[in-house]
Amino acid sequence: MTTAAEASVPAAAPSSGAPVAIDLCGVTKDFPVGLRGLKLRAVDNLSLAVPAGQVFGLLGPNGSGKSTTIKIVLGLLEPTAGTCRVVGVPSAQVESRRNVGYLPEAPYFYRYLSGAELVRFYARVCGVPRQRLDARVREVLDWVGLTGAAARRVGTYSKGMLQRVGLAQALVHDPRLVILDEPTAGVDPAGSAEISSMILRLKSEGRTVLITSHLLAQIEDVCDRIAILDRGRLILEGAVAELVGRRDRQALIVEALPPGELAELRVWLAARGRALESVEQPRARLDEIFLREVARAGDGRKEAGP
Amino acid sequence: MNSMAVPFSFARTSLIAGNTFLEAVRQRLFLFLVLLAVALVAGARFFHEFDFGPDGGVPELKFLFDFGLGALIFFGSTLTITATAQLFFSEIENRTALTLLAKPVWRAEFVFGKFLGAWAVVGVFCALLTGLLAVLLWFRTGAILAANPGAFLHGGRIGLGDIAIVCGLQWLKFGVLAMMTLLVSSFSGTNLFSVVMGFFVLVICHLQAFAHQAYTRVEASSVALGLMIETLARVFPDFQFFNLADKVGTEAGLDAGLALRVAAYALAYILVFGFLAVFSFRRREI
Amino acid sequence: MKFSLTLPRSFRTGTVVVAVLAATGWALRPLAEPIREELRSAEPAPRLGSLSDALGQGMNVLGGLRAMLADFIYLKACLDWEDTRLDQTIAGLRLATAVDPSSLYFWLNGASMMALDMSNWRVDAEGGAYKVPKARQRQIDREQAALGLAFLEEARRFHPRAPTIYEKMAFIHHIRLRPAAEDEAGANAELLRAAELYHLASTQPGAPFYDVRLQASLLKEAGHFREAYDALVKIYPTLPKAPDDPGYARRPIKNPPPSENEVMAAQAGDVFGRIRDLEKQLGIAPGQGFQP
Ligand SMILES: Nc1ncnc2c1ncn2[C@@H]1O[C@H](COP(=O)(O)OP(=O)(O)OP(=O)(O)O)[C@@H](O)[C@H]1O
Ligand SMILES: [Mg+2]
Repeated sequence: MTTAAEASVPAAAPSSGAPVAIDLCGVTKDFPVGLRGLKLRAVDNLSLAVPAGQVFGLLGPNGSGKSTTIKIVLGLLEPTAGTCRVVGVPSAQVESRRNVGYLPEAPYFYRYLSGAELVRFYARVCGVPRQRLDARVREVLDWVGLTGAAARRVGTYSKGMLQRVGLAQALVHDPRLVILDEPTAGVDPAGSAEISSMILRLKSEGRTVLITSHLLAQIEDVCDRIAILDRGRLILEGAVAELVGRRDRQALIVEALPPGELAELRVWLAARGRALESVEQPRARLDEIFLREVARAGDGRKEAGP
Repeated sequence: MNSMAVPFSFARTSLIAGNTFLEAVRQRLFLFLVLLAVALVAGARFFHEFDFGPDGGVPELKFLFDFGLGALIFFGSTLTITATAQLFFSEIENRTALTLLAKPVWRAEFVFGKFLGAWAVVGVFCALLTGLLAVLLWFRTGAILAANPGAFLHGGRIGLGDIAIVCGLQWLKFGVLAMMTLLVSSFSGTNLFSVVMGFFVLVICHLQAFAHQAYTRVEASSVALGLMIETLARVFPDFQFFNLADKVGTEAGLDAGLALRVAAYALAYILVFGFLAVFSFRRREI
Repeated sequence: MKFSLTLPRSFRTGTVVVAVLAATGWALRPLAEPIREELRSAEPAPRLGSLSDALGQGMNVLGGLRAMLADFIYLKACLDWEDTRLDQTIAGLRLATAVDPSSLYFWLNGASMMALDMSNWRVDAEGGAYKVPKARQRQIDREQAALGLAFLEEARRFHPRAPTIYEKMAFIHHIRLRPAAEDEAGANAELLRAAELYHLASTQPGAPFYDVRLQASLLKEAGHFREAYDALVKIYPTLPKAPDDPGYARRPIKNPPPSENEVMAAQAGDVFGRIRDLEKQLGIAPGQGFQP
């Protein structure tokens, strides 16, 4: 676990000792705002190492510099200060993006192409060999559940479908590093769950995933490590298991006890010098109910097409 | 790291160009060509009906050619500037450039891909209009000759090769114009600014002959000032070069060698402006 | 410090752009200058203080649109001509030729309108050919012919080698000024002037064969048999007598073997007949005359 004060030192290799996929070193990004040469510091002296083969979550409130950091990683923005390397190659070089898949936040694609044409275009740009092209495009469209809508113009897609086709183009060339900027924004819970499981599958295939999200529960489910940004500064970084696990508390879930037995339990605990801190009625999470009901309504839901 | 190297790729450039062209096609950009074609055919009909006097064949062809070429130049320039700026900014404004440039794509591939796509759009426009004009002229020439075999004894016959050369030179000029518009777009913040600047530059390039006359006058009085104006006069290409239409239909005809040299001039400028557009776009924040 | 980060970069980029373009301009001089010279030499130097010349030069800016603009103006002038609006027609013709002096057709047809059509309009406006005194009609004819000839004189600056301009001038002298002359001597002088102009036309590149025939017949009409004879004798050897005639060297620019049409247009046989006729008139004994 690292604090902000320590983070200003170039990031030490993560505990696992795995090779580093993304290495940010003292990155600062200023945006000029206004006419009088005013600057807005979107990223402030950020040093971060994303280990290869892990799922890394970048968290933070709106405007904290997550997307800016990602654009710097991809060479779309030039850092005002500091360096950024992707698998050892400086981000400014085209080579650094060879094995990277990127889903931008709120993506928007060529409206005049169909979903399949769009994914095909990006696949060809990324140099997917021609003989594998068609099969590969079909495959990723199937993964993201867009097979039924593949022939439709992207301009007619809903927000969630855009997100899915964005995911498809990010994965079509089989990248080693996948960068997802809010992949679940605008996607329904079923889709969210699918994306979560897809991320886990990418990880199991040995890929590195960098993900930003506001859904903390989701981040918690899939991420190995997280970093939290606030106003461009790194305020917390570490392995999820270390950060969220509390070793001094435990939760027991039992069948509902009548009041008498509950009192007995308290007495039993008190005899051992322990206290029962709270008694709660566990509630089913709304998304679990949603998933259950939708699953019941039919399996055809997977394909977002008409 | 050599095995990882991603060299500049013509395949990727042409992919981007193809996609740009497809965007223009699917936006039904070419629909207005139909209107233009109808107008041209109607114009041909009008000039046919118009009474040009006893040997009316020659002026009839001249008027038809002038109007066809005029339409090509006017609408072609407009199309070049607006389509190039629009096709470039649609990528920036819709943030599709974000996705594309996050792939292993050189900025140079992006700029030249956009250029080739836009230039192909203008090329299709020029080819269709030129083809239509050639067919109309050929058709009328035949009819005039049938009525009066001696109609073109003193020139006035417009050769298909001449039409191709004149219109081809215009297309090359549009190429230079498209690249200049891209150069402006590479740093400009908005589509509108690029379009306005594009037209501004177009006018300046047509005024180059004046600048050249000016510095030859001034040089006599002040060498320093003359040198300065000369430098300024050399910053922009001279678009008058592309206008060889005056010679069409005359006895002397077009000078193919001259046309070839003008073409070389255009290609040199396309490359130079392309290099500068890449240079300026290379560090643009997307 | 705050400013120093953004301004220099755009400034640097701008400087590089201008510098590279200026260097390109210098480097391309060997390519560009000859082209510019070639284009400039195609146009006559503008006369100082001439509004129409300045206009024509200014219209260069329009590039290829210039011809189309001139066409529009000319079409408007034609509509005025149909409505017999004299001042508007003349103004339109002047403007059209100023915008695009390269179109020979504007000059020739404009001159015809001025010299031939407009005098009829003026006579009609003054009451018609029966009412207006003959002397007045002749005066109007001379005024309009002078207008047309001046217009053609202007055209010659832009097309110094166009035979059609001299032909049109000759035609005006022959058809308009000769009948409008005050006396026999004046009429004869117009005939000779027309013959001279046809001769001038015949010496221009690409001139039609009939120029000399016209010259000869006008000279003959004026009683100058000897000159008519000399002109025909001089031209005869250069006329194509049959397709693939090897001696044919008429057109200096493109010199293909004579076509069927050209042989027909040359009318060598007719010219030969005229030579013989003139020999009779000149009293040259048969056998002593011209031998082809
Ligand atoms: N091109 C730009 N010009 C000026 N300011 C910018 C630019 N891009 C981002 N910013 C500013 O930088 C800051 C960080 O933006 P960024 O998009 O990185 O935030 P974020 O963490 O991704 O937020 P969100 O969760 O809302 O997506 C914001 O204050 C934003 O206004
Ligand atoms: Mg963001």
